[in-house]
Amino acid sequence: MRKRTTILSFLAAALLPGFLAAQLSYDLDIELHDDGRTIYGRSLVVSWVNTASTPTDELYWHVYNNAWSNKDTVFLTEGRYYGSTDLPRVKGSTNVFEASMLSTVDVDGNATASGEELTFEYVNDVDRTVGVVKLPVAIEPGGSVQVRLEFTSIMPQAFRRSGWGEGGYLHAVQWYPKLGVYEELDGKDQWNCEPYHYMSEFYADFADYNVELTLPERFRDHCVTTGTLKEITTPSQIDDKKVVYSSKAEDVHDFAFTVDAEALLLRRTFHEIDYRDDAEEMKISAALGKTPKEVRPQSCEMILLLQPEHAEYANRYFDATAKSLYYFGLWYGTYPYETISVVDPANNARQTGGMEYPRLFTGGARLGMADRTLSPQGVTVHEFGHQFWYGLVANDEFRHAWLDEGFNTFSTNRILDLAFNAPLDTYTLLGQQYYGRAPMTIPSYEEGDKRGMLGLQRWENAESKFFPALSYELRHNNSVQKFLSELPLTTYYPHVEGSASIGLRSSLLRDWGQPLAHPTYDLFDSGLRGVNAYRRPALTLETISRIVGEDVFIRLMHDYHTNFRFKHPLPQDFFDVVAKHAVDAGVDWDSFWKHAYYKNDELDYSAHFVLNAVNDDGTYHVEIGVRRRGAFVVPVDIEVTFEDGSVHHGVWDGVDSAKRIEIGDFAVKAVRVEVDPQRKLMLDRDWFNNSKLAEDVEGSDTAWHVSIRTMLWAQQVLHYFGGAG
Amino acid sequence: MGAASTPLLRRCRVKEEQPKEQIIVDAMNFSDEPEANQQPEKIVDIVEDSQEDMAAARPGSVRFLIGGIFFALIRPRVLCFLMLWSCVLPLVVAVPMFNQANRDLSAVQDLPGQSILALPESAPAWMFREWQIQSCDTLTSISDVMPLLILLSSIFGLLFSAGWMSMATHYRDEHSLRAFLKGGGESFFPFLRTWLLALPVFALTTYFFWGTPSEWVLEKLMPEGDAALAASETTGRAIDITRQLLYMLALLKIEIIIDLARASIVVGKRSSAVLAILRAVGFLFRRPFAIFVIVLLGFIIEAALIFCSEWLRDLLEWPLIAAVFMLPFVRHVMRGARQSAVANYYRAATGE
Repeated sequence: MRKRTTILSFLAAALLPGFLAAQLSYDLDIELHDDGRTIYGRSLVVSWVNTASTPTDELYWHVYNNAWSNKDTVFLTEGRYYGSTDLPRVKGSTNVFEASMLSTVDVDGNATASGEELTFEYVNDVDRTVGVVKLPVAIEPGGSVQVRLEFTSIMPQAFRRSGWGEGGYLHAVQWYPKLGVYEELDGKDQWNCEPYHYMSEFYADFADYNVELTLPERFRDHCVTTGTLKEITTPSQIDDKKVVYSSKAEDVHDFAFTVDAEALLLRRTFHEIDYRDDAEEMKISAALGKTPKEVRPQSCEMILLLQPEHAEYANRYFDATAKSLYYFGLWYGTYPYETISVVDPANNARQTGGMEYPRLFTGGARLGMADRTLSPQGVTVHEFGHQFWYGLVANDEFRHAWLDEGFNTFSTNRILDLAFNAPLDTYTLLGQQYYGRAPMTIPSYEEGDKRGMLGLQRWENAESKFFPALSYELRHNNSVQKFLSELPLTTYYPHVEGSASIGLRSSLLRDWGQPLAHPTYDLFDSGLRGVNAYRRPALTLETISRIVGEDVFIRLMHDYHTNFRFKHPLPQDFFDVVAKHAVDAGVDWDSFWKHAYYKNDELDYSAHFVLNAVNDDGTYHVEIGVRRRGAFVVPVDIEVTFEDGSVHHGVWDGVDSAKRIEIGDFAVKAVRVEVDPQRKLMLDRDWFNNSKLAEDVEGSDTAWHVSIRTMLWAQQVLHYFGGAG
Repeated sequence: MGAASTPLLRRCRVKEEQPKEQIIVDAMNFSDEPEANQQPEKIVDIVEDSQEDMAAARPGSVRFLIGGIFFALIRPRVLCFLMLWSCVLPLVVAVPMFNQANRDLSAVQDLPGQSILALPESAPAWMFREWQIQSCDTLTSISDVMPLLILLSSIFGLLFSAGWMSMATHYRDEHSLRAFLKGGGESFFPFLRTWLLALPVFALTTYFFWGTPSEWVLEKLMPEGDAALAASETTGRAIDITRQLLYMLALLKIEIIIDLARASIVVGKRSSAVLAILRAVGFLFRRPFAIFVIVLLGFIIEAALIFCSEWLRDLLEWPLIAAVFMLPFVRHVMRGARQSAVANYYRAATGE
């Protein structure tokens, strides 16, 4: 157990959920300039209580917005390392020009007024995303300090989550200096305040926010924020063509706001009765030992800031948000705030889309999306899910992003599978999506790849002695040409359904490279973040749920979420919860996490053979062979199917790398053996080697259908190009 | 057939110095009797004004195309050969695909809550995604063959194109595969040269629509010429769609010029691809719509026939493999019809 809290605060935290939020508050008085991109921080008053077990005389601040101030910041430098040379078109920066200490309160509650000026310095003068204020006195555990800052933030043109778009859109996030987290890290109390890394998101303590927000008049009723909005404009401010809002939010770890003079502002109220799923309610209430009424989520106001061009998507946004409120509330406890705001980003600010902040998140949609692409429902459910994973259970996203992204990906997929029609694969013609999936694709070769000459895609002349290097496209593969050459209506699979959970297995395509335990911000490959933070942990959770069974898993996840709401859990906290609830699952959980978390072990079981030896009495002696091809050891189910349809089940411990198993003597032949027939082991790298037919047994005609579809597709493509040119 | 009763005759322009007698090609009044086809018909060029010429072009073009369809349909040996070609070449990818699928999928049974059995009409994504995971290298190597097949198909497409045009203009009495290939062989290399000459034109067109010139135009329409920076997504989308359509239209125009050049090569038994292309450009200038009508209508009829064949297959509940034979039949008939119609029209119009 970490010793980062004093006895007092520990007791208080145990008695009062959300107690930690009371340890920190932000009072802000800010004004958005008429240019719609400059924020004057007239006053930022922060009250902070030291909840760790050691004193500190420093306050560390995140100033994330400075990541856009020059091209050599940590974020942009790391971005180049990972292959991204993108820079903000218009820079952004935050300047703190005044800092002072207002007061301190010691552990006994004795307050001391101050007013002493402080120096706000940056840890790194080039990066400037971490600032530090040296206090004249140390703040003892349980003591508190109140400081005041004045600052100005110039937001960048929409870039990597934040910024503005021409036309009046501003998504203001990470726009103010925000305290880091003073906690035990690497065995000692210290400020956990990483610079803005390319590969990580954010981490902060829960706080109460009280924000007075002055906006140009054009943003009246075109604004959403983390807090609950109330207009407090005075007559003189109306004369100044200003609108002033008060926005309050409790128990949140960040404050964001979005304004868009052109957008529609729509409101609907979520009532659980409109989305009630009786079967799921019964399942959850039975698993938790509660009544259905006790697990039902409470009502909430949904606010949607929507681009007029996307008016047709309003229902999709609301429906997805409401279903998320319902299922997340059912599974993990009700959403505790009175509003949730959804932002549909402006076209020229798409880089702000698909991101989450407390009580506010951004979705994203494009014109022409077919309904069963689940766009924007998929991103809406996911970003809403972050209200629970990181929004309420706030892990360190720098180091353990999988604890929110992975858990959220898992939860998102569960909702998509449960509450929506399975998405269908689509192709695009002139910006409009249609259902269908090509059985194959023509390889597309990049510039400099001479293979492009074969398919008459491009001409390469890089090594000519007489002409300068030349590389040009012969034909641009636009959607019309693709349509005409492939004739999707006749050659594509028309309705290819995708299960969201099973879709996670695409991450198995990649070389995993580094174990889950490796800090997220330090992963060696940017693509690995999608695997290690999102899909692989979600697969791991799916695997656990299928091993331990739904009832146990429901209790386990509910327990973990409710115990760590408004706290900062570490991976071991989750491992402990799993071990506590799934003790009877027949799995050595220490070994499981060693394979799944600390190491990069591959999980792959395969069926090797099924033999039917004829006995003297005409019966068959059935023997099977199974293999463990990876280092990951976990017990696995085995199923042997016989000619008459009967089935023999067993469990193999998987300890040996290969195993011959005698099933016994039977009157009929065994026709197939299958390891993990229920596909519980979602982490199994290869599912196709799980089955093996007896030698004289004919398989399904799947291959025939696949090859005919492929042939038809190739035929049309070749016919098209046979007549082109 | 009387000249005055034939719309074609009103359409065909004849140069002043040329005799006012033309052979009406079998595209419009085809007869199986060789003698009948050899009967010359009189043409009276009653249209002097080019505008009127254009207006009058449409019905004649249609008749050339319809004649072309019949011309192709009554050459079953040629069609069988082309269908065989269309069935054999895709086997290069279909057979390895079958082998791999048979290895990976035949033992797979339904997953809980999912089905893999309805493959001809639908399919669960898990199987394909899994397949991409497990057989990634093999599937990639199979699809890597496609560019090579496309190259082969393009080159043999030239041979077949020459075959249709030659048969339509010089071997009208012939129905044999031998004549088709002979005709194709005679013009193959000039056709190949037109193809090679067309490639840089295609590239230039692509450069114009997708390279620096288009960027210059787009910068006038959107910030930095980037649809992602346009305040309105609708604007960006409309510009992109317009660009795609104009590009495809430009490619179609080039295709028409190349087809006309080939018609010129076949009809005039020429060998210079450059001169043929220049001649084709001149021809298209004089008659900008007639050939366009043949080609476009050909595509429309082809699309309708493809739709009908799929509808018929559904109605009769024929398996998917029926489409493997039905579609090439439709498409080769229509390609033969288009090419013979273009060649015949060119010959009729130029009097060569």
